[in-house]
Amino acid sequence: MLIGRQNARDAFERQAEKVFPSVFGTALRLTKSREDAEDLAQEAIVRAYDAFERFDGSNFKAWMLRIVTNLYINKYRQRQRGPQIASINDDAIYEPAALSGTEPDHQVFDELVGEEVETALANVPEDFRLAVLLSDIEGMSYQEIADIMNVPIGTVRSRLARGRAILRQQLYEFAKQEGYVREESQND
Amino acid sequence: MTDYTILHALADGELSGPEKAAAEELLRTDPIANAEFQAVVAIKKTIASKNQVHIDPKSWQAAVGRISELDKRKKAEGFVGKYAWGMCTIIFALILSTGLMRHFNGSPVGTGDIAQYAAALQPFSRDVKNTGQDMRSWIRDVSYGAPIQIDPGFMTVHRYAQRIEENRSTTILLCSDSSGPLTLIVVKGASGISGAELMARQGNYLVGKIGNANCLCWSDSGFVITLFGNRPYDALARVAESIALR
Repeated sequence: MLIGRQNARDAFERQAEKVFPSVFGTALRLTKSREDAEDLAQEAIVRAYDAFERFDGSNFKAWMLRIVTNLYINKYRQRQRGPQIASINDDAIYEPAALSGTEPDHQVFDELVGEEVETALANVPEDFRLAVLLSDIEGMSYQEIADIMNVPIGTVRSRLARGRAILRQQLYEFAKQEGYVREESQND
Repeated sequence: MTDYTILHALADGELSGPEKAAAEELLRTDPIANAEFQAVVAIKKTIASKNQVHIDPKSWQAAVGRISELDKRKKAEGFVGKYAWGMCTIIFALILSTGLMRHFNGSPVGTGDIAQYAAALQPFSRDVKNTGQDMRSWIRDVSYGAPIQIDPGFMTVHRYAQRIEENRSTTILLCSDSSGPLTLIVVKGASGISGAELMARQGNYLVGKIGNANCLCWSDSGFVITLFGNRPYDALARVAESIALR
């Protein structure tokens, strides 16, 4: 019995240590506070360990990120929620935004540093931000994101498009402030 | 109306079959769609490459520490849960046995209480029996079955009194022998003598003084028996030896 429990703990720790950077990174980008992120990530690990015998064995990372997300929603979101810079309407029709620069996006964004990207991401409304970070940082599939966020796949697709559009706009603002973007002249 | 979110799905590798073909056709024919797709790819690349979070190694160690705490708690809870019935049974048995002991033997009687019981005993009756077999059964009756006997050739009972208070039955017997008067107090329903630190132990007995009189005390089978007399302890002890049924 004791050996079985120790084996289960070893198995859990092996898997959890591998995904801990993702757990902590997601926690940090959700809470925007290193202290809260430490607490959230650790609590998620404890919750996961407590429920490990119910884990179906399919995708440990997705399972852990779901725990982090749910824990955040239940425990942190209400006390942390601040003003949002865009209203969330999953049903609104998405239109690509026309930006004013002349350089391709990849050239502009290459100039930005990690801190600026992090700040821009932090300014994206929470539900859009979560979709973007799960897809573009954690590499989750739409189905996995839908499971984690408990929304339909269509909503995931919509939130990703909107989140990226807001992020793109934010990154352009940083680039303009730093002088990486040349504005189109009136004559062009 | 064109659904541009399909381009995000294409960039994310989430399309297949006709949907993928439709998105690729859109890219070839719609410059806005093409620009949007390039923007999506650039954003994805930027986020993936410029989002490095520094993690303090102590954070993982702290998480492991919390797991250990959980393990300890579960182990303790498991023990209590597993042996709860056993522990309850033991506690119940202890309570029951203590209750039974108190029921049959009573609680200890204090040395001060003995004097108090004796002082409260009255009126005294002169209806005593001091001869032969009759005396033995009479002594047993008036002392509520105490393990004592009085040899009529050695000691005489002059008067006695009885009282029942707080589940304790007390009998006082005023006697005398050839050396003078003696008082015997028998308390039923006492498991022992408390406050005996005021008394010294001598053989089978506790000895001390109540007032100016020497007294000698012993407990047996749920009774506390005290013998008073104005004589030395060893003389009282000899009388006690003749009285006690051992």
